[in-house]
Amino acid sequence: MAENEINSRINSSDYERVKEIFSVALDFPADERQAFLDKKCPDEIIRREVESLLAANSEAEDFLNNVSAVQLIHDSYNHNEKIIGQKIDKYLIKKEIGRGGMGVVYLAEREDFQQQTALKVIKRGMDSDAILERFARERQILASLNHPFIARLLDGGTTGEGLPFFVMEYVEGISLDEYCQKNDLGEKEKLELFRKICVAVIFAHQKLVVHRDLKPSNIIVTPDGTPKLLDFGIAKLLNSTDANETQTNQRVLTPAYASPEQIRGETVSTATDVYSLGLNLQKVLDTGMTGERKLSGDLQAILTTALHPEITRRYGSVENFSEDLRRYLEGLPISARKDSLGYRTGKFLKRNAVIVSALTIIFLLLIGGILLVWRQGKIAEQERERAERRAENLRKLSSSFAIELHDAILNLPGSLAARKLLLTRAVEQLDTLAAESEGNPQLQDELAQGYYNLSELPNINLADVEQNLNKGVAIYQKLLSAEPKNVEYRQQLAKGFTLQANLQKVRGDTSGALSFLEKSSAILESVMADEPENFEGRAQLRDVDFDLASILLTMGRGQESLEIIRKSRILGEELIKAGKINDDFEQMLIGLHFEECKSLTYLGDYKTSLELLRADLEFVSKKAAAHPNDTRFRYELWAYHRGLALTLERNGDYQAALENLQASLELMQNLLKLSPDDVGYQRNTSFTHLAIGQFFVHQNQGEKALPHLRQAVEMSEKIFAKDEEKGETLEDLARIYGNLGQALIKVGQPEEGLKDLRRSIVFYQKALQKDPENAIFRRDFAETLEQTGIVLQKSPNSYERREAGEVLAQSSQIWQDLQAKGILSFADKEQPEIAAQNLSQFEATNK
Amino acid sequence: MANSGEITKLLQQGDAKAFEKLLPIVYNELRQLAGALFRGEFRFNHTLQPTALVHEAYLKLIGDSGKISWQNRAHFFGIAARSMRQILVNYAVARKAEKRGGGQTILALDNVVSFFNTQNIEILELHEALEKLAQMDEKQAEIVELKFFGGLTNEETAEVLKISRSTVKREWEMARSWLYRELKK
Repeated sequence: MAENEINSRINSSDYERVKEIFSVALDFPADERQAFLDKKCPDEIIRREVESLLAANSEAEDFLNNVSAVQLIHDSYNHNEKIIGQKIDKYLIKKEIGRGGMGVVYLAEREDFQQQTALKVIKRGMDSDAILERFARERQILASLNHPFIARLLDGGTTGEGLPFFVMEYVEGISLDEYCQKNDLGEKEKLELFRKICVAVIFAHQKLVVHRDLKPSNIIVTPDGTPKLLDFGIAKLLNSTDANETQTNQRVLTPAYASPEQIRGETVSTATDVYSLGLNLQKVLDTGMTGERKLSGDLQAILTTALHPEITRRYGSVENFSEDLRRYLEGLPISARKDSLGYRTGKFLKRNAVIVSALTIIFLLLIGGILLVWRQGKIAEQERERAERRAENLRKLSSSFAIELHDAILNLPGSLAARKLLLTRAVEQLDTLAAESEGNPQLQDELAQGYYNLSELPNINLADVEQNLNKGVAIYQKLLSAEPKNVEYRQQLAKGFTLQANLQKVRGDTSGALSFLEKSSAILESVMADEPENFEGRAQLRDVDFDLASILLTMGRGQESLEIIRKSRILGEELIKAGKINDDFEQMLIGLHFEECKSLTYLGDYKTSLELLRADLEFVSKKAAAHPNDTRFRYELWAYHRGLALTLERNGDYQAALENLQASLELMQNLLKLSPDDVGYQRNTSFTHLAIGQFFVHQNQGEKALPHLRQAVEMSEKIFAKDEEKGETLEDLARIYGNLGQALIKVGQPEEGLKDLRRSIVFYQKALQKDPENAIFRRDFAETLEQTGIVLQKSPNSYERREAGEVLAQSSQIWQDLQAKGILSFADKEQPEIAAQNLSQFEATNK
Repeated sequence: MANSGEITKLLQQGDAKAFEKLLPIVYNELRQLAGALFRGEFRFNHTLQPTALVHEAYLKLIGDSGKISWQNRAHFFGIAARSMRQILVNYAVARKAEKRGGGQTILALDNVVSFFNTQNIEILELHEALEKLAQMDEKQAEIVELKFFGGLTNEETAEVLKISRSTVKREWEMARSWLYRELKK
């Protein structure tokens, strides 16, 4: 403001004088300029102008220097000339599509997938080695940013000239501000679009990735109005966190969208993205075609809070920011202004105009009393403010802490011991904060989420995961004992239980997983009863239903599984009919369908299952074709082909089953190629090899089964070696060795085959100690025992023949037990009978 | 359209009237050259100089008669810089109004405009700030135009404006600071 005033008072003759003094002052070293101005510049106005220009000069650095319009045209010509039509790694460069501070972006095509990608070559002069090293470390995390509103990072490497490059999903669209202008969006539409962007940023923050460079050109909107965030995590790869490299830091940043702490070279946290998002929102709201620039008081207050230069006074998270926007859109009081009594009253009056007018008289009568209460409140407020400020600081510390910690852990050169130490420290830190923040629900809430976040860090062992989850869950249980109806806490507690269920599943404890899912489901059902329109709760419940159905089926409880999934699906379809949910939900319904088909197949209704699976496969294929870069769809396709294969095989259509298995393998192998370090993809690839191997074993084609099973052994052994608590992988290994043994026997190598079968049995027994209620695993065990018995009973060695009797008896007992509990699949319904016959035959001949 | 003789004459004349007549001619030439570059229909003779585009326009309009007087060249540079500014401003306006398309020329300019954006330079804002600066100090605005839009070196700028190199440097430093502050506001 003050500066504007000065400017308006400077005329061109003043400017001459300013110039004279400015030019001389510039020749002085910075610390001597004040003295010079004291001597030579008596006029206050001139002096302030000179000082302001000197300040600008020191900030301007290279502004407009060494760059010109003709040069840029010339450069882009020269560069294009060289690179178009060439290949970088396996990408064919088609054309230039953008150019920025960090380099040039090309449209490029990956030959083997014919996939259109955006390939970004980092310009010379940046520290290539450091960038690539960081890329190698962060690759897995960045690849896990799998969200419809985030353009995925697909690949990276170095060009022939040694420059780093990154490959990203190619997005066609225009920048956020252009989109708003072009479509002449109103304020409401802009805010709704903006909240979608927040959803993506929140998602990334949950994965502990901060964008750091959210600017209009990184926020693209596709023609159908879907926002896509570009360059997530890239800024970090280009910026060193090393303090003595801050110079590089500043050059990569986009100053207009950088937060004050970034400009100061301080630590970056999620609050940094809050700030940049705030700037983007401000810009979008400012440039409306309508030309009205005046924002309502609330919206201004939201922007002010998002853009506060002090981190501790900014929104604590993008979630809070987005939530306030929602409240603003719905006419509710916003948190950014919650402290003002007048504001709250105003909001109340606005919303409840009719009631209020009827109450005006009573209100007037009461006003004396209110004033008294208000004054007393004022005194208490000072106390409260002090306490809140402290809590707020703590809270900021903990949430940015999780991010920093995450980075620290990743940056360690792989030493498990060091990682464990750091994790211990982090947990200690959170524990201290948790103890100190007793009685502050907001802080406790954040801390609990901090524990959840820690539990989701990559490459930590399952025991630590469990500890952290338990702590997070305990906090929510305590919070709920004070506020039993708080929906957010209930949802968070349900989330904790779901995470615990996942943990048990990976551990190979099916019934443990089930009990956690049941808890989670019960909480969410009650949330939905209280708030039928709570969309997030609905989505959360649907995910839990999905897991529940899957676990129940694993336990052989096909009918229950089917019921849960049908209930959830029908509810989802009703919501779609009512127009209450979006595309994404439709996509997830397909996921529910898939579980339904699995149950149907289990129960023997192959016909219905096949019909549904084929229809859904077609739907998913279309989606996948329309979104070739969205790996979610390819993942779905993988699951569908596998599901189809299983059902087709049961139905006796072997050729089609095999084709689907091969298609599923190819899909998963391609996914793994994109993210070779992703343990989930590794496991699924191994699993698919196992499925094909098993198919060939059933078909009596041992020769064809072997290469797949060997591949599976190699992959699963590697995963298991990293964390032996992974019971799930132990179960995979049991199955793989079982099939490998059978395949070897079929190709005439009985000795090796028997070795693998015995190893398999050991694995089965070990895994079953933890997972006694996994019906599918037990039936697989029974099958392996039976095959082993059949081989052993032909042995000339009497000891081995006795062993044959034992395993056949054990097999038969498992089958009887499964039958007695009513958890046999339709396909296995003859098995108890067959096993019993085998056993009695053996006993008859070996009396 | 004027032939090379007429253009040379106008350049020699070197006054405001001549400037006005030359501007659209140079503008068109530069615009076409920028487009041709990207269609691959045209190659630079001397690809190493940033001002090659302007030189090329000069050669095309006036011909390589071997007798290019420095005054003519200086005038031409001045006009070319103004043209360049005009081309970019017009393009930025068109882009803002979403009249995109126009093929390859647009792409070349798009590169420039978006590069500036990433450097936090909005061509239109810079243009407006430059107009303001011109009201305070016309010479400084001219220096910015020549150096930034025309790509001229300090020597060339000094030559065009008939001032010393050190003056160019001094004025440039202040103009930069002033513009930076103006754009930051």
